[in-house]
Amino acid sequence: MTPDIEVRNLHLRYRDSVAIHDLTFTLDGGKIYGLLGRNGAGKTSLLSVLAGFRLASGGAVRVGGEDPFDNPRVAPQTCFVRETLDFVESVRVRDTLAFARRFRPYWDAGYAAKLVERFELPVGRRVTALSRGMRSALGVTLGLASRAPLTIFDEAYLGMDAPSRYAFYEELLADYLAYPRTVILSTHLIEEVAALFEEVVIIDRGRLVVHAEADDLRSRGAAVTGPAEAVDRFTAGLTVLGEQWLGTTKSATVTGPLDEPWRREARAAGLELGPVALQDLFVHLTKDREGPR
Amino acid sequence: MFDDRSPIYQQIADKIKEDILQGVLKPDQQVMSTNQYAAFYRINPATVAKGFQQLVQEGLLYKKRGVGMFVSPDGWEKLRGLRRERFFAEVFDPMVAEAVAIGIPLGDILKRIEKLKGGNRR
Amino acid sequence: MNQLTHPRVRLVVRDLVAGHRLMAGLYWAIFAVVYAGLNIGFGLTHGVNTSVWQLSGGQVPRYFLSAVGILLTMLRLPVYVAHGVTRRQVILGGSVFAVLICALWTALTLLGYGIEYAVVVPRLPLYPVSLGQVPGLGVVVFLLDLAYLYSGWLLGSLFYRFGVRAGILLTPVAVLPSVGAEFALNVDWNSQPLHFALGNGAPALLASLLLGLVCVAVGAAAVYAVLRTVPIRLRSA
Repeated sequence: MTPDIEVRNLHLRYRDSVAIHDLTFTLDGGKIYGLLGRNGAGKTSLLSVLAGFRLASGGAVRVGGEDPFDNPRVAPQTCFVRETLDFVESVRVRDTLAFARRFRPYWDAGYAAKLVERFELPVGRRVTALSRGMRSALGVTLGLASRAPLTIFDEAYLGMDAPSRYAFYEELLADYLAYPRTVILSTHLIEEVAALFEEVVIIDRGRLVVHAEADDLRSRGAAVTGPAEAVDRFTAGLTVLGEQWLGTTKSATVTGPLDEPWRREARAAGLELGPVALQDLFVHLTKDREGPR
Repeated sequence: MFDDRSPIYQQIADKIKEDILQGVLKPDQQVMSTNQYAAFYRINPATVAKGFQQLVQEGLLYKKRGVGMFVSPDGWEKLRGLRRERFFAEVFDPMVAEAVAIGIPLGDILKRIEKLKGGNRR
Repeated sequence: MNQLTHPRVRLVVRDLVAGHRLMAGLYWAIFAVVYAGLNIGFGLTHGVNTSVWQLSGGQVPRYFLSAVGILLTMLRLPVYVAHGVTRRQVILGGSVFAVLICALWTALTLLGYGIEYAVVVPRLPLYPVSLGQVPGLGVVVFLLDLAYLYSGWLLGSLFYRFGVRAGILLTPVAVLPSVGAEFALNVDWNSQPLHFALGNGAPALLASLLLGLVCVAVGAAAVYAVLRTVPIRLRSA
């Protein structure tokens, strides 16, 4: 059960603004996707439409070949985990687990119990009384244990401390390997999660900037390190994303046509070539070009 | 585990190549599955698969359907050849360039090589 | 209408019933005690000359049903949708639940009459409700209960979908089902649903009931219209 996602000329309008503008892309089922974008880029809006939380203003969306909005076949297959938990505030943690157990067709109670232990969730406490980190941990627990064929984590783990986040990444990967599904992670902590992505979608101001395999994207640039003058020589004419100096050594992150001959010559000149961090590429691709947002 | 000197799939491929060269991985021995690698290194299995794919293309691994990935029987020989080429292109030539840049006469380099050769004989 | 027996609709109904059990039980327990106490006090000071239950025992619990309706969308719709239930399934499940809880409310209201009768009849031989009127009364009470619940549900849905300001402005629209039902069933604001049953210059019983049913249907249709495409929003943390 690994639904494809197809988005064609998607438009989403709010009362006084356009959140998504003519978005088109296709995601094959069964992969882990990273959805990157700055604040207000339209990530949550897009995910809301995919999850059937919102109706598109125009264009078409298909999850597993069907329109996801109010669809009795698609709805139970989707789990949309957000930072704010969708629960009546006064319930206790164990009630949320019992509720999910009743409504989620693929719920694994044993796995849920294991996650509750791993994140040290206090089952008897009311959801309102949980700290932000605990709420996030509960959110990802509900998301993971639901084993929904389409699982979306919308910055759901930002409130968690670093050890909990890494526990989440570990659990997500392990469960994805055992029970393949389509996963979309939207995040600001790009470098932390980047190794988990198979493909990356970057949107900016409601439009698609790039959709590519994570490794492909990384190879579109290079981090060139070595003697400053050599670095400058080899990066002349390329787009420089950033530079750092330490004495006479310089490290420049560049994008541009970086073919094999160039790479070989650079190495022969004593320069070290490393891949670009996705985060650097992301900052570059979503830089303000027309002034303040 | 992985640094950012080269793509992760490259580093996985390099590590396997190293293991083959050192004899840690023997001919026709099975390699860990993509899932096992992925879980162990906390990366996407597709990235691992890419590294494996590269090794298959280079003739160092072969796939047995339904079973897994295995080291090629002639992997070690192939690697030695590849490593040899790379050694000259990436280690030796830059070294010479460096020596020239510092101002070391090539004659000194040759003398040092002879000395090392003599040492190795012992 | 095999949609009604759809497993996920049944899940919603069961969850709503379980979720309201405690509140409903508490409400009636407190109401009964308070009402009994008031009744006794009233009876002792003013003497028993009318059915107090008829005056207000039928009306006050109805507002509780309105409150249940208001909270239905605001509290529970986002939770259900987030757990893979469609809006249509929620509306259907909520409607089945509405019928169930109003049936319960009607039964308890009739029981109230019965208890009052048993207690009061020695001193008030001409009790306003006769046995033959009970079925008619039951239907009237049931329709009014449903109308109030749907009005509340509509109000809560309007607030959820259009925000506080628009919700306040649209309140008159939301109360139409309940007001209409009251009018149709010829009740004045002191709640004397028996008026028509006694045939006190009121339209025929059947016409009243049909009109009342129409008001309930309009309420239900309005809820459906508002919720059918409602977006589920991010709650503020």
